[in-house]
Amino acid sequence: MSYELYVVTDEELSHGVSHVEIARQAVAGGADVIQLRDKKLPGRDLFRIACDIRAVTAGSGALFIVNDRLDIALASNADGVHIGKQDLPLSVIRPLAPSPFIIGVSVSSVEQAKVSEEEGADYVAISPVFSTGSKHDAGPGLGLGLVREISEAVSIPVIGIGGIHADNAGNIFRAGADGVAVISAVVSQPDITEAARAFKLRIRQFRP
Amino acid sequence: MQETPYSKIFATARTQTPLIHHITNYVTVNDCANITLCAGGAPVMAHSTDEIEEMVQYAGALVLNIGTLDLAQIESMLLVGKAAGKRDIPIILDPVGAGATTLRTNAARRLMTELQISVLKGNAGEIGVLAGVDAKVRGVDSAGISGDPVSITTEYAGRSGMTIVMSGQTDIVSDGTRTLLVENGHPLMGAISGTGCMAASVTGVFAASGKDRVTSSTAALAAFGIAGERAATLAKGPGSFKVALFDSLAALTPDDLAEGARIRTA
Repeated sequence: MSYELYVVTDEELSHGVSHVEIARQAVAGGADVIQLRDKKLPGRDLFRIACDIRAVTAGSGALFIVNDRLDIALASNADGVHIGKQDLPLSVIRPLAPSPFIIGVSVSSVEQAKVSEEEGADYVAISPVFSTGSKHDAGPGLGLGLVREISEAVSIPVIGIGGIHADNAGNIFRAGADGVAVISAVVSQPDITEAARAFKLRIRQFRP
Repeated sequence: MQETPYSKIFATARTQTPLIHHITNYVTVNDCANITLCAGGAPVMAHSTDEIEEMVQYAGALVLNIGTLDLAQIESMLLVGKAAGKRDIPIILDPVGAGATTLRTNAARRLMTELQISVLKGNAGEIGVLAGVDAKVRGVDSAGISGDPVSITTEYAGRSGMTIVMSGQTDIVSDGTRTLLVENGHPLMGAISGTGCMAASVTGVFAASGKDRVTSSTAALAAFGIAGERAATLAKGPGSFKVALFDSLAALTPDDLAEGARIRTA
């Protein structure tokens, strides 16, 4: 499976385009992974949306990952869940999940990446690689140097997130990453399908 | 003459004449317009919020310069910058005087946070302050930086996601994975006001003509530097140098750039 272009849905940054519509358009443009991310919606609404995205991604080759919520991911038959530092720990989630089930973990140091790999993470996301305006609590950019160190330290896929756009995505692959996760660079664009397609082309152009 | 990636971008600029949208300062706005023409682009200087979103859609690059900023201008820059970002139009930011006053430092930071800046071009003091190292800015001039400029530029590019250009006697260009040094230029370039602003305009013309930001920025600085070297041989002093600088860049060919560029890897 490929993590090359990993698109995170965000209804605020999409200027009103719904999660499902973002997913549909991004998949049409060649996104490899769709992550449903909404920290405000009640579980029941999130579940309904997750089922709709599952229907959109099924058979498309794109993976469907739910952010934070293992319950929603399992109930909607998603491919996996992505967890951060505030969520249930990996060691708790892994035994609850069926096999195969993808668990991705946000990390901000080599040590965290190594521990996540040992505990059974399927991929790690370095967040934020660059300083970003999309997430207000993201903190300063960790940099390409850390992308290189983590890529060398673990054997699972490494994804960069934060402040990535078509101009600088190539640098993340050159530093050793396997994928880039984007929000505004795709979902805030006037034509999401075209933005995803153009992004994939740029990645192919710059990938070593 | 052998074609190089640098001369190729310059040749593209000469044939395509990209529109370069500027919101820049009133000290050097006319110089920026003219140097854009000499470099192969077509300048437009629009800053009214009533028209900038409409105007930028035709642009090949957007150049933002905070040399004489005020709050209304920052709002204009944010508006036009967001419109440019939606269309994948590269944005060049010249953070003039960042570090000299709180307004300038904060304005530069806000633009970098809210917009997808492709190239950040400044002197050692400005880049140093924004990178968070010990640096001094007096007026709009760099008054020194502590630490190695090449490592600072490379490291800052690596964590900011921008291509960084630190201008100086040797210009440093880095995207965090590749770092190039440009050794073209002449001391007389520091004797007239606006050469930094003009360098940003030329960087905009080249950014509109080649997708790789390190290559295009390096080519722009080399072309502008070679024009400065040639102008110096024709000039009697700063006044005639400025005229000769325009003439020399306008006369420069892609082959001249391939031949005269003094570029090396850091």
